[in-house]
Amino acid sequence: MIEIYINGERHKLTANITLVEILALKQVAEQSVAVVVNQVIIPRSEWPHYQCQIGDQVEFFSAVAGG
Amino acid sequence: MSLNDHQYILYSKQMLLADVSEQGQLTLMKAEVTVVGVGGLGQLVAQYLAASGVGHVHLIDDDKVALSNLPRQLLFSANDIEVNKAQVAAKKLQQRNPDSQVSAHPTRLTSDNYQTLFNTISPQVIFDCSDNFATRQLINRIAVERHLPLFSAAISGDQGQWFAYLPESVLTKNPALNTKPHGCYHCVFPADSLLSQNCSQMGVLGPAVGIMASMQALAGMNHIIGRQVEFGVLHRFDAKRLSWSKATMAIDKHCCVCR
Repeated sequence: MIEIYINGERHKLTANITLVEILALKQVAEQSVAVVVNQVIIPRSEWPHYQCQIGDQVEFFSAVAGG
Repeated sequence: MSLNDHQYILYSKQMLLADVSEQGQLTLMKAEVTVVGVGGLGQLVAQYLAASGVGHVHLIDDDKVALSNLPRQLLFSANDIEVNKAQVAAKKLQQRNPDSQVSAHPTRLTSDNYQTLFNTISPQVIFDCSDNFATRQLINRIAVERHLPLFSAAISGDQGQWFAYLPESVLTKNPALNTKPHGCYHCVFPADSLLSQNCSQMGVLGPAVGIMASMQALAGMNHIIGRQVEFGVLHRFDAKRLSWSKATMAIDKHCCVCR
């Protein structure tokens, strides 16, 4: 198990968990968010094989398009 | 080109900044820019650009002024309702500062007309002040194809986002810009992204829109006058908590727009 932070909350998850698996765990639709890991926006195409590390700060946010 | 006495006084506060000076003012006055969308964001961006003396400001919008726009789109008044926003804005800004040529393009920017439109204008930067995801994707594509630095802002409800993007073709030719390659809008939000809510369904407070527009206009002006701008960083603003966060826009190696 590793400890990572998702939108500021501490979680204990299996080692090598990927971003896609985290989104599924949190029941977040992949097309509805951008994912930030340690202040870097990780492109969606990398999520299936992007493995989280101990202490990672993961955030999701949606696009806004109004003006 | 040189400044006359009136212009020296008019732009004195800008030129008092040591790294702007007369040279920076003249650079602004030679600049040509495009603002897409003349709503909450665009009407304020356009005011700052034209009032600061930017040489030529193109305003693109097919929308008309509506009563519900007035609390945040302060360039417009009740007399302007039902009139095209780009035309109203161009007329008012041109009157306020004749140094800036302001051109109205009262049309909706689409994938069908953008080539024709951009073949007739020569902006050196583009401001995305649009109000929908499809147009934002199109503007990002135009920035890449036309080698234009992009200054983009958006807001819905209490959530604002802005970023500056420099196409790789531009930064390769301008090493002095001291910018590393970074992701484009499509790298962050691919075209098939789902937005939680349509902006027309969301409320917004005028000053929150103004903050995003001000950041966008300031970043663009800084770039034009040669100041260092942090490209490739998405800034998020929570208008309720008044807090900011930011994240680097990584390149998507599979991006169909910028790769």
